[in-house]
Amino acid sequence: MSGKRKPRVMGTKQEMFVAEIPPPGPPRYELVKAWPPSRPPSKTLRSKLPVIISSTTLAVVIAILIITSGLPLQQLISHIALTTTVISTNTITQVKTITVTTTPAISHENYSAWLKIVTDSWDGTKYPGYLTPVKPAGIDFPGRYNVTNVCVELYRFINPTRQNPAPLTHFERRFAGSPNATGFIRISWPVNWENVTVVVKAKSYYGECIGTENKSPFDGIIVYWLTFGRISQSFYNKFITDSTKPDFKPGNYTIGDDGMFRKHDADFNWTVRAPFGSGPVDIVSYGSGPITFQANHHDPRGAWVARAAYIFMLFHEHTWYNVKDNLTYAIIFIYDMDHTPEDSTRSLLQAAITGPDGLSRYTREIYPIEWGLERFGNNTLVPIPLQTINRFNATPFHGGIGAPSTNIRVGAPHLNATKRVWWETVLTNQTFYVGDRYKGGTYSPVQGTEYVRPLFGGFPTDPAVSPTITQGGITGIPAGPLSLALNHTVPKTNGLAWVSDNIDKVTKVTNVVALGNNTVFYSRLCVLDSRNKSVAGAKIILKSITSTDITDYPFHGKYTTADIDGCTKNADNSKWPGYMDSYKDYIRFPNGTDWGKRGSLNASYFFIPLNDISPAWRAEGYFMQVLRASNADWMAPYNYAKNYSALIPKITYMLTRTLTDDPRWGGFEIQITIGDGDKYRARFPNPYIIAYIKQTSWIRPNLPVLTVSQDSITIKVESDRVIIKLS
Amino acid sequence: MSWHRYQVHSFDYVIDGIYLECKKALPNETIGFLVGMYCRWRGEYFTLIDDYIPVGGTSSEYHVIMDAESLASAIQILEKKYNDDRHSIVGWYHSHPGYGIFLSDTDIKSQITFFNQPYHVALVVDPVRNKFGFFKLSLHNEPVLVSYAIWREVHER
Repeated sequence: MSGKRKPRVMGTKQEMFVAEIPPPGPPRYELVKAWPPSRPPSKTLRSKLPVIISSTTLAVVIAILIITSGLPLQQLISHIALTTTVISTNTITQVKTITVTTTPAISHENYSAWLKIVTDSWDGTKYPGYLTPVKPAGIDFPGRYNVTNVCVELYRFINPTRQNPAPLTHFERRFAGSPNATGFIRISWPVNWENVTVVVKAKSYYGECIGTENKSPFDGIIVYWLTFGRISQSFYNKFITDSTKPDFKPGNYTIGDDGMFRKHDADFNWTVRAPFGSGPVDIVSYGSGPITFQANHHDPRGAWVARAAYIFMLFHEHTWYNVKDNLTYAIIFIYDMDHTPEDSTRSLLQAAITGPDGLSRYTREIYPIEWGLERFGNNTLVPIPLQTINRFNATPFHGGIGAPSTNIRVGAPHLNATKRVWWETVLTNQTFYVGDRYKGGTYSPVQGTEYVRPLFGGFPTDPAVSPTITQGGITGIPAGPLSLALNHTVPKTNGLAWVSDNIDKVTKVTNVVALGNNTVFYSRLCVLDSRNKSVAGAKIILKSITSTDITDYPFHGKYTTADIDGCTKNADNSKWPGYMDSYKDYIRFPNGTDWGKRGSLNASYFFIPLNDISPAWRAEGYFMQVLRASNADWMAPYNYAKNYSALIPKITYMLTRTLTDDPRWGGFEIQITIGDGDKYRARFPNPYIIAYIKQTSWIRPNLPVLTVSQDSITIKVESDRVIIKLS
Repeated sequence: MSWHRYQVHSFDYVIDGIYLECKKALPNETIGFLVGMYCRWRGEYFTLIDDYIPVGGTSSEYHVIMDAESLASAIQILEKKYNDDRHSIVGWYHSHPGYGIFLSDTDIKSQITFFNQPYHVALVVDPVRNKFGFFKLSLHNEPVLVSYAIWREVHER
């Protein structure tokens, strides 16, 4: 032994020596700082003394001034206003000081933390020393997609009447803003908040917040919800009540994109029920309160990864004559039907344009030059937000999706949306569902394509036979030639079976597609004069008319009956990429507008972040942290993601902003000109009248084969041609 | 004056020294041990901190790591410096540069693991905001701010 007594070591149960000594104190020591501050009884009186003195002094001074100055009182008040203010300020400051000292200073601060908002398709890994999969690792578009077009709100739920379950009708709100171009956002909240809740709401295509104007948590398209802190049992009982699991003890829970509950272990598990992981509804319980959220996520490298509810839809637009008969340059609009007025630009959620293969091209995601625009330049997937919260009973959608044979309502994130293909509108009022397949459902290959489609919803085998059936027990999903199968998404990985582990796995479903059978018509038009003789060389112009009799869009082609039989032939001017050669003698209409006048995709407006000067990119903006970073592999939050999902390219022909923007349909006009002389015209409300019937598996529905007369034209639909007879 | 009712007593040179260590480490966090005594006076217990031992542990801008080697090193220093049975390691300190006074989940785990005696305290210093606070854990292992008094010796002039 050295003779020294070994100092006590912590963590052991040994008996601690207790020194019987007084604490430091006067006169040898003077107090420098104490918490809580010392408040001896006499000090309270002393602290009020300045207030009394100040008030007394003020009264005496005013009285003396009135007596000695001879000024009227009102004038005097204005004269001494500055002096009075100073005195009052001093007085108030002293009172305030008393108030502050009774409360720990820490209660006046805010806590803050970082979020990174992505989707459940996000492929991320952890930075060394951090807990969350912030670092991008994906190689495809969904795997690297950052959710940026959203508004973020913070709420504190309070329960003043101590009801159980808590009604969630009392809350405080803070607007946090929108994420930067890589999905990062820093949030802050007062330290006295509990049940701290982050609500992420989708924006419109044009970047307008949806559902934030009422300053209520249960408005808008809520794509992500996170509550953290010491969460009250009454909140649990209200927010995530499930009749099958009625008692949710405080802990960590996730309600996934499939609507299923997951209970985490003691720590939040970012890979629970892979590959979905966390979100879109997360409840995180900390025994130490919301401060732990700050502690764990105050660094962007350890940001909370908020996996919002989005599906990535692949659209394919073609005529109903053949799935290979692609519609090129069709514009796809997705309108919200639940949360926005139809005449509001906020109703437009997404837009895309089809390429020569008829597949959608999403033009909103732009990538920096050094990554090459080609990286995702031909991205065919359209991200669409989903509603995760039942806003009417203030609970998440949960329970999953019922089997087709049942009538169980969908308990998973979804959205009532309408898809419109411009200009020939294809209106459906369908629900978007998340997940790659429907529980119990099966897939079927689409003949002649590489795609598969679910046997569900509005995609009957033969639309002529069953045009209006409702399938799957899901209400509001009509089937028929004008409906679309939107009840699925495009998973980014193979073999997902997300509803139940018991269902058989699909080995490859990446090409699941939303097939759009658009009402594009073919017709071989033949012109006869009043004597039933063929009119070779007649010029045919097709136009659409608005309800106010204004000629709206001239269709692309002006056709000529070149053949000796007076019929259109080799109608090259109607050929677009994707046009099937077997229809070369037929006019394809309507299939677009005069692109030369209305412009085209203008890549010069593409967003290049490196050239952007918006505040978010400045050093003092979201990337303030870069100034402090010492770690070489961390330059700035945007470098985590290496992609830039931020801005809106200007597409000049995308002029339809709302559901009511389209000109009211007034009819269809046919103009026939013979030489430089006679002109004939007639309007028909229904363009189907001149549609050619092709007897294939894709035929038009049971429209009448008839003869219609109007003005100077009689139209007669025959087996392989449409006769326009002039009178 | 019932000064002994403060749960922690310390001295200006201790706090100033720890502040200096924390500021030198900026922007990184820093960590160390609090040295002192467990005391009783007129039936009230308090922790008296009269020294500290900085630790050259692993740290970065956002975290510090306490390990067994650091602890062993601190005990060696303590043995050399104090030849009495009163002084011991009564807690630990670490900095939160710029993000406030609190105990993170990791901090709480450290407190539970290494400093689970009633006299053990955790001192958190924010050298950017010039704030500090002492913590103990409640019976439910929740961090609780504890009262403290910082003293300065009065010298004859």
